[in-house]
Amino acid sequence: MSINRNNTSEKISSSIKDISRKIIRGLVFPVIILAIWEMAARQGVVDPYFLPSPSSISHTYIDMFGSGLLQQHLLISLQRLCYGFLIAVAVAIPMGVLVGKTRTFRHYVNPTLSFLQQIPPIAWIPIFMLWLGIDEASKVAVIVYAAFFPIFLNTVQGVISVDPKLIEVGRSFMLTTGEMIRRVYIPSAAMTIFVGLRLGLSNCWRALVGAELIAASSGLGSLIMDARNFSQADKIFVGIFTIGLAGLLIDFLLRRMESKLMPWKKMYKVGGNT
Amino acid sequence: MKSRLEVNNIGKTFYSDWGEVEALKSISFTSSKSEFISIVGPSGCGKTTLLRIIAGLEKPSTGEVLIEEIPVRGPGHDRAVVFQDPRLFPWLTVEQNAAFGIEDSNKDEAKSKLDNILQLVGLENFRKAYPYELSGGMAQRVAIARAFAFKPKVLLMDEPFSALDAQTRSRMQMELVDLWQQTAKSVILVTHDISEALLLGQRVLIMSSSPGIIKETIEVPFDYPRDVDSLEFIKLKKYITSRVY
Ligand SMILES: Nc1ncnc2c1ncn2[C@@H]1O[C@H](COP(=O)(O)OP(=O)(O)O)[C@@H](O)[C@H]1O
Ligand SMILES: [Mg+2]
Repeated sequence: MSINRNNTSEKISSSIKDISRKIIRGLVFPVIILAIWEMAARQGVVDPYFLPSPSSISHTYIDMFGSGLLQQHLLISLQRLCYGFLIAVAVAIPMGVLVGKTRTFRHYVNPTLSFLQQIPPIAWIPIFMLWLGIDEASKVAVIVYAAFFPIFLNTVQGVISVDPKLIEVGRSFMLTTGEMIRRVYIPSAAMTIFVGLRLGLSNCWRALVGAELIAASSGLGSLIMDARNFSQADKIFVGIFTIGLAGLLIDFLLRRMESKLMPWKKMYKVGGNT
Repeated sequence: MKSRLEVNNIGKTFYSDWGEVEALKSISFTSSKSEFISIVGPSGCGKTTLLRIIAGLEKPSTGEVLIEEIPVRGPGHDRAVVFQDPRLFPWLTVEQNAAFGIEDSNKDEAKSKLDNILQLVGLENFRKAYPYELSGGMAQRVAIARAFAFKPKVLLMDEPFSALDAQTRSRMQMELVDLWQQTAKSVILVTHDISEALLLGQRVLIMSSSPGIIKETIEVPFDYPRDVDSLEFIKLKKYITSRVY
């Protein structure tokens, strides 16, 4: 007797079909919009000074890619993202576990956190610049701030909703507090924490570009600002699309990581036993 | 001889917004050897509460539990619980779940022990499966393996087979007797199934409710494996049934 895995290849091929169908459906809208846009541009309905055609934007794209300019800015942005995000993770997850595990602590910090949560990261840029200067530190600080709340709040939520029955199993096997956190709380909360990581990452990607728009001499945001100063609408669009595409790619990678790290995740979809 | 398990005058009252419930009142019994004790009683008579108190998961309102003459203050290495539901960790495989209680112990030795136990519960081909891939019966067997791997002196089981289909249940009952006979454990099995209590226990404690007390103790005179169709068995079962209800 063993688990029936001989239909695995069948399953994989059907899931590939599923995925490709999804991708095709998802592309319908962008393709229609691009087509209308291109036609409008060619018919001279819109002024290319304000709205260049998709084809001219793609030429600029290729030029900027060929000269390495685009990658250079993208890389700088991604680097900032990395630092800020990692710092946020290192602070938000331990704090989230602590707050989630201690009810009274929650009462002390919740109002303050709700207040801070209302402030968009961008609003902090001026004061961060004043404190940290116009270099990397102020941008990284904004990103940390932007990523912190989704990660922290989801970690708290994940830890609060750990099944008390599983905690009791841990207790009956005499786990220490540290083991309990490592072996019961964190894995239980992992799915929810991951939702927070994804939200946090997209939040800080947006905040980063915002910060670069306001105050930076490098990165995708500053690329867009430079283009604006020279009234190069095509370059602005290249910057905008790159931001969107890079964001999608980052989220995709994080999701891949999630299913690699959590192969048991499927059970939540079929509602298996606990 | 030192007593393995001593339950002295245990009482438990729950307080809630709508009043108090005296779940247990002056429960006492002693077990001096590797005994198999069944506890039967109607739903709500305090069986689970008693088991949880012995496990150290719940504090009694009165009295105390002694394991080898040491008072129980909380969960301990000498006891393991099989809960009514399997309570497996969904992110761990079958073998990781079974090894949950022995993670830090000597690797090689623990591993060969685990092999034995998984074999005993018939899950050696499912070591890498996750709980969502298991049937209810298989999941419960993992929970039993997990408790056994912990090598407790006292194994506490709360209606472990109640969620299983009849066929799986009767196979698991046989496996449990085997496991118990091969090791020197004390087993306390809570059940509301009178046949099961009589099929497995050397002693059957009959409880009644409001407040939960031990109404009668039956010494079961049969050897293993027991013949459920024998006249004596049926007679004793009828008697216990009449005492429970
Ligand atoms: N945590 C609790 N709080 C309040 N009442 C409880 C609690 N646990 C059990 N009880 C009550 O104690 C009594 C015995 O419950 P239980 O031990 O679960 O019975 P059994 O397992 O025999 O069905 C019931 O009346 C139940 O409602
Ligand atoms: Mg019960």
